[in-house]
Amino acid sequence: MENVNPSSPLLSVRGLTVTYKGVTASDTVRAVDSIDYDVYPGQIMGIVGESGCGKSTQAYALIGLLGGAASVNKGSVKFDGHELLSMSRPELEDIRGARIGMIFQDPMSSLNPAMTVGDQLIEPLMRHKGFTRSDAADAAVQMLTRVGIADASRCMRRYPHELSGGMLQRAMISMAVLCKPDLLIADEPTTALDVTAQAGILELLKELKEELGLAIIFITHNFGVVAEICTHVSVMYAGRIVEKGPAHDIFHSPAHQYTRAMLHAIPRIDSVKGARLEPVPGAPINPRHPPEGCSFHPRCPVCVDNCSKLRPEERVIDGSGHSVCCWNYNVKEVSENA
Amino acid sequence: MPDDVLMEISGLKKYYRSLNDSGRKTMVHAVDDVSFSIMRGETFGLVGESGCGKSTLGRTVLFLTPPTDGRVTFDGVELSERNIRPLRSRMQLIFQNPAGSLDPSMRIKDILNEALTAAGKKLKGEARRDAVTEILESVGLTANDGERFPHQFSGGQQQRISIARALAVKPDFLVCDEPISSLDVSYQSQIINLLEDLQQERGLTYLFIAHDLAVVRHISTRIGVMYCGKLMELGDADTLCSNPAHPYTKALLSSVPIPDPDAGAGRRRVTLKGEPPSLISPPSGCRFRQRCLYAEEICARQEPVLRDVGGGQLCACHMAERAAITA
Repeated sequence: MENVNPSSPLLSVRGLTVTYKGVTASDTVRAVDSIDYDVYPGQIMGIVGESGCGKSTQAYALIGLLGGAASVNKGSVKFDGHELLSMSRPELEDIRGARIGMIFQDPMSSLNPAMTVGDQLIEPLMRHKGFTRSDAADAAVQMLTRVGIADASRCMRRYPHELSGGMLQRAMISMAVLCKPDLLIADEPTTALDVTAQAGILELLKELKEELGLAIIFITHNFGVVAEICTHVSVMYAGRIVEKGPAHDIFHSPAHQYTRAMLHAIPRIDSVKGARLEPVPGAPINPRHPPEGCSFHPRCPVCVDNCSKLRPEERVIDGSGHSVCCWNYNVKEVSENA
Repeated sequence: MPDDVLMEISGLKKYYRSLNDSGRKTMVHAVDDVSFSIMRGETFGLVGESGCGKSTLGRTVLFLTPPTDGRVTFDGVELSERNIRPLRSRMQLIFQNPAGSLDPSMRIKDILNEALTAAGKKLKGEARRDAVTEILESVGLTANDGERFPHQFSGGQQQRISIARALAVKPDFLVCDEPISSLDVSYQSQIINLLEDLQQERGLTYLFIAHDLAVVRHISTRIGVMYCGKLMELGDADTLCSNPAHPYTKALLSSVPIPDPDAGAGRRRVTLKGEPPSLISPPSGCRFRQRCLYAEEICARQEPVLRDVGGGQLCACHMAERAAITA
């Protein structure tokens, strides 16, 4: 942690908008639609939503990893006071890997299959920290041991295909935190893993957060995983953040109908069977033709007049930072059921 | 065999030929001596982590791949490669990835027609169209949807279509192999409810294979837990989940995240060290012993067999009683 003031946000995202250009103008998809959020040092911010809601796209946009047809239309991303969106490529390359680490969903396809794990670990240390090869190798072995790989020096000589998914994800985490970044972006890091391996990885990330004073942006579709690890949550639907706040508030007093529906739709391991599940009514929207007003209104049980006309602004619920984008969030009968 | 048993699996083994690290011919013990029965009308949930052999078991009981050893009896008839064909229409399979299991170049009505033809249903013209419409409506789709192609549907609707195809031949028994794990949360609960409704209406029996324990607990009557090709524990769904007997089941259950940040406080997490053993050369005795907190000398020497640990709950562990006291 260099020069980070804990009372100001480490990362501040304002009005970030990303579109994917189609063949014709009507094919253009606004994947991320004017989102705002802050991440403070020591926080784990969960970005949660279903596939296609823009949660990964917004993360790639933060650090300039969008490719192909996607581009940032507007917005600002301030990392430790510096505007990331206006940085040149070499400037960004100095930050990525050094001050912002990233882990991806599928470790097998995000590591280079033709390089040993060791070489891939050594590279960022030499590039960013000016380590010699042997110093970097020592640091890498140390970190692999730290993340729970039993025979670290043997692991260094292995190629990705020779390791299991859980081991590879541990190797990728050590790669992401080797340069002691301030911010770690984790995109569905446990989705490809079994539950027992997932539990180990979540535990490890929590420990590393404490040890290294990391802030983490944790992207997932799984509310269980969010509850397990995140201190704060932003719920995304159709490219927008519909609700955000401290994790406790999101789970115990969800304000947005989408958040409520998602929490009711999934069976819980600690509840006795019997009750019928309550699916979210309707189907996810077509991103090419998003509805007017609130994008959730066609599926919403408490939709009012305004909802189909005007986009709801963010409304602060209480002093803890809990806010919701909904015209009708304090409907009595629904909040009693929630 | 009692009347209410629909499928009885005994001593089932499925080995695949493979090569070991040094290129020698060897065997992968994907399913190794598994026995249990599935009752008529129940949902038998089979859980376990990737590579434990649960999908292989699902395919082997349907004789999509013949077993290496062991017997499968379906409704009183012992299955063999010779008598399986006429029984196919009574046993169907739903796959994990609906997009990959529907022919992209066929209209939905043709996909369903093909299933009807394969089952030997000799329907013509109007009757055939009616049959297809009826199937589509039973899974919440419309006759118009029959004219469309698979890619024009969402993942949830595609899964409805594969369920429709499986039901077209009026089976009694469905193997559902991870039917919801590729779907978004919005659709998962819709498909679970649909499967429950269809079971009610048609008296179906399910073998429900999944890695998501919360879903399996919700939908299953009884649950079997597999590890490394073996059945480790078997019991009533609620009993097994609230009072697991096998140390592996305990670890598995304690790893399932609960969507409530306060739930962690009261839970004791059992973290497993290491990796599951190789299916090529599984360890002697109990296959879980190298990762087990309670393992003793006997666990390496003698393979534990499924035994009643109270109330009909079966568990293959020498140390089950001790694990129950110290947990």
